[in-house]
Amino acid sequence: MATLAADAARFGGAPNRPQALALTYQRLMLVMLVFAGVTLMIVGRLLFLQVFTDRSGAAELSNPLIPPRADIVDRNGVPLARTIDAWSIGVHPDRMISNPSELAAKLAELMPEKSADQYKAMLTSGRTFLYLSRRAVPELVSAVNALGEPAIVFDREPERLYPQTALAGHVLGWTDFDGHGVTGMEKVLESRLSDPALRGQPVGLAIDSRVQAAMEAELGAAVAKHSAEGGTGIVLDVRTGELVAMASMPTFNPNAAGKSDPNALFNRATMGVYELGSTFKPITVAAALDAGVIKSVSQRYPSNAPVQIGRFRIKDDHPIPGSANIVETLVHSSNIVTAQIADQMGAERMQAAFRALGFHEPAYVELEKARPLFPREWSRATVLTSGFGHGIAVSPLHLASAYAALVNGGIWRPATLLKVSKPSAGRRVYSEETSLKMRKLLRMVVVAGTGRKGDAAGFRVGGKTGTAEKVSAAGGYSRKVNVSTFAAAFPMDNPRYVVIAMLDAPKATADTFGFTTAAWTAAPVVSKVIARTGPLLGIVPDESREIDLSDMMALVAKQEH
Amino acid sequence: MIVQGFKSVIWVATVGGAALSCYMVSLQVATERAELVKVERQIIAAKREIRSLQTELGTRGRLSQLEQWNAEVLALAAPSSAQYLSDGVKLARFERRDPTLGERAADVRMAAMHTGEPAPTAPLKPAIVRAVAAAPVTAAPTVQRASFTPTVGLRQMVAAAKPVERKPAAPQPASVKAVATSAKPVATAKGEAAGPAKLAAARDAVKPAADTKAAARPDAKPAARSEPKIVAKAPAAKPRTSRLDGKLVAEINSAARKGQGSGGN
Repeated sequence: MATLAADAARFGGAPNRPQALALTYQRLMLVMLVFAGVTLMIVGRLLFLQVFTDRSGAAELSNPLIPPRADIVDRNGVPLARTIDAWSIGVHPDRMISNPSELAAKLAELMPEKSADQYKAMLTSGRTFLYLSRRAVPELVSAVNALGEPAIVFDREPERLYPQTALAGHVLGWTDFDGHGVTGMEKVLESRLSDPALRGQPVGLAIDSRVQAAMEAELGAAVAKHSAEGGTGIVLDVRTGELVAMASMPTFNPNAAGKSDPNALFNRATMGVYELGSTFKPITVAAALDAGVIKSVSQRYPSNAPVQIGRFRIKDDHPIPGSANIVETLVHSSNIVTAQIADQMGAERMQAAFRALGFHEPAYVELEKARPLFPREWSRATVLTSGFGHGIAVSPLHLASAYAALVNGGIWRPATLLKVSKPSAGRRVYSEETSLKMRKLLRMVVVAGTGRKGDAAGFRVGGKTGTAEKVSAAGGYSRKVNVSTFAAAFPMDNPRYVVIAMLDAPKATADTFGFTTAAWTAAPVVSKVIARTGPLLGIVPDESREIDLSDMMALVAKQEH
Repeated sequence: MIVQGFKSVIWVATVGGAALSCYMVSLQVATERAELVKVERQIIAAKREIRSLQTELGTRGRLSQLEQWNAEVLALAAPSSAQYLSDGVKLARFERRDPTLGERAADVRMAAMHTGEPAPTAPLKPAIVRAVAAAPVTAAPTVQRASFTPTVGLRQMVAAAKPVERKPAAPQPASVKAVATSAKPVATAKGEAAGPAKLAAARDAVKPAADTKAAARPDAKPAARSEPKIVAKAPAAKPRTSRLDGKLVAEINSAARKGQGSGGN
C-alpha cells in the first residue's frame, strides 16, 4: 500500500496528489502508533509481571512451611511438641457402593476400636461424612485403601506430636482434635502458639530435657521400688526461678492423653498440696535468724522434754538429751526445739514469714495450680506445728521456690516454665547473712545429719529431709503412711539449683530396713539426679572444694559421741 | 532509493520483530519463573521431608528410649566425680606405663653410639610440651619397628636415620605433618634398607603432633568450663597405635573425646 502510494507520487499525473499523500502518511502513522501501542502494552505487562507477580508467588510458597501451631522446644532447642501431617480416614456413607456388612467386618478387623456392628451402623447411617479413624498410621491407611471402597477417603490433617512421649507430659499438657490446648503449657501458650505471625518460631521452655529425663527415670525407679502412690521431682534454677525439670509420677503420654489413667494426669508438683514436714524447719530457722529471735547458731534450747500444747504433744522420735543448739536442731531434726523457736517467733511473725514466701496463695507458675491449705486461725498450736511443717499444706513447687530464696542470698522469685533471658527482680525475704548461714546449716544436715544419703560426691549438696505423716482417710495422722521429701540445693559454696524429690506414701523395702523416711526414700533420688545432671547443668564436681563448716562442725561434735 | 521505498516495510518488520522478541522474552520469563516455582516447591517438599525425618529420628531416639536401652544393654553410668579433672597435672597422675623392652634397649644403644654421630639431645621432643602421655610413645615404636624389620641390617643405620629425620621436625612442631610428608618421597627415592626405617620415623614424627593436638586441647580448656570433657578415660584408653598413621590417630582421638563429651549422661 505504501509502495503503491510512493509510485503514484513519482509518476505524477493526479491533481489531488498532495492530499492523497498526506492521507497515506496519516494512515501509516496510525498503523505505526497501533504497533507501538501494542508493543508498549506488552512491555508494560512484562514489567508489571516482573515487579508484582514474583513476590506474591514467593510469599504464597513460603506459607506451607509455617506449621499450623508453633513447636514447643526445651531450653536447648530439643523439640518437645511438634505438629506433623497425620492421616485421617473418613467415609461418605451416602456414596457407598460395596456391601456395608462385609465392609464393616473388614473394618472391624483392621480397626478393632469399634465392633463390626458399630461400623455397620456408621456405614448405613446415610450421613454425608464420618471419620473412621483420626491420627491413623500409614500402615492402617494403606490397609484400608486396599479394601477398594471409593467412598472411603483419606486426608492429611495436622496432628500434635510429642516426640519425647511421656517426658514432661504434665508440663506440656495436650491438645484436642482441633489443635487447641487443653491443659499444661499448650493451654497457657494457646494464643502465642496459634498466632500466625509468631508460629514459625518455636517457643522455648525452661525445661532441660536431659535433666527432666534423668529426674523422671530416677523418680520413677524410686516410686516403683517403694510402691509409692506417686512422686514429684523439681529442679529449679535459684538465680532465675526457671524450672529446669518438673516431674510428677505416675506419668502419662500426652500423645494419647485420653487413654491414660486420670490419676496420672494429676500434676503433683503444682496441683498437689502436702504437709511437707521437717523441710519447713530451715524456713522457720531462717525466719527466726532474720527476726533476731535466734541471735547465734550456738543458742541453746531444751530438747529432751516434749512440748505440751493443748491436746497436742510435740515430741521427737529420738530426743536430743539435755539441750540443743540450732545446728543440732537441724542436723537431728528436732521438732521440740523448732516448736519452741516458732513459739518465740509468735503467730504474727510466723505468718509473715510464710506469706513472704507465697505460702498463702497458689504457687507462681504458668500451669494450673492448687490453693495451699494455709491456716485461717493462728492459734498457738498452729504456730508451733507450722514450725515443723504440719498444719500447713503447700505444693512441692512452693517449697522449691522457698528453698531457692533460702540459699540464693535471700531473694524470692516466682518460678517459671518459660526460658527467661533476664531474671525477675524478685523480692527480698531473708538477709544475705541469713542466707549464708542457711547454706552452711543445710550442708551440715547432709554432711553430719539426716541427709547423708542425699549427698553426691563433689557437688557440695545441702538439704533437709522431711518425713510428714499423712492424714489417713479416717482422719488423724498415720505414722506408717508418710510423705517423704528431700529438699536440696547444690553446690553449697555458690548455690545454683534446688532439687526436690517427694514420694507420696512410700513403702519400706528390705534395703531400707523398714524405714519409709525421706533419708531412705527421697534423698537417694536427689543424690542420683545431682550426680547425673550436675555436669550437664554446668557444675563440675570437685571433691577438693567445700564450704567452710568448721565453726558449725564444732557445735555438733560434742553431741555426736 | 530502494531503501526509502521499503522504509515502511522495514518499520513494520522492526516493530513486529520487537513485539515478537518481547513476547519471546515474556515466554522465557514465564518458563524461568515456572522452573523457579518448581524448584521452590521442591525445596519446600525437601524441608518438610527433613522436618518429618527429624521428628521421626527424635521420636525413635527419645530420651526414655535411650534410658531403656542403657538399662538393658549398654549399662553406662554417669562419670563419677573422680573422673573429672580440672587441670593437666591431675591428668598426668594417670600415666602409669612401664617403659617397654624397646625403650630400655634404646638406652643401651644410645650409650654405645659414641662414634662421632651427634647424639640426639634436648630438641628431640619439643613437640610434646604438654602431652604427658604422648612423650614416651614417640621414641619407642621407631626402634621396635626398625629392629624388627628384616630389611634393616644395621642398628646404626636406624640411629643415623633418626636424628636426621627428627631435627627438621623439632624447631616447628606446628608443621610436623608437612615435614613428614616431604620426608616420605625422599625415603622412597632412596629405597633400599633405610626406606622402612625412614618411613617409620616420619610416621612417628607425625604422631607426636597428632597426640599433642589431642592432649593439648583439653589442657587449654579453662577448669570451670560448663561441659567438662576431660574425663580420665581419655588417656588411659589410648593404646600405642604405631600401626596407624597420624591422621587416623588424631581422628580417633577426637572422636573419642567427642563421644565422651556428649555421652556424659
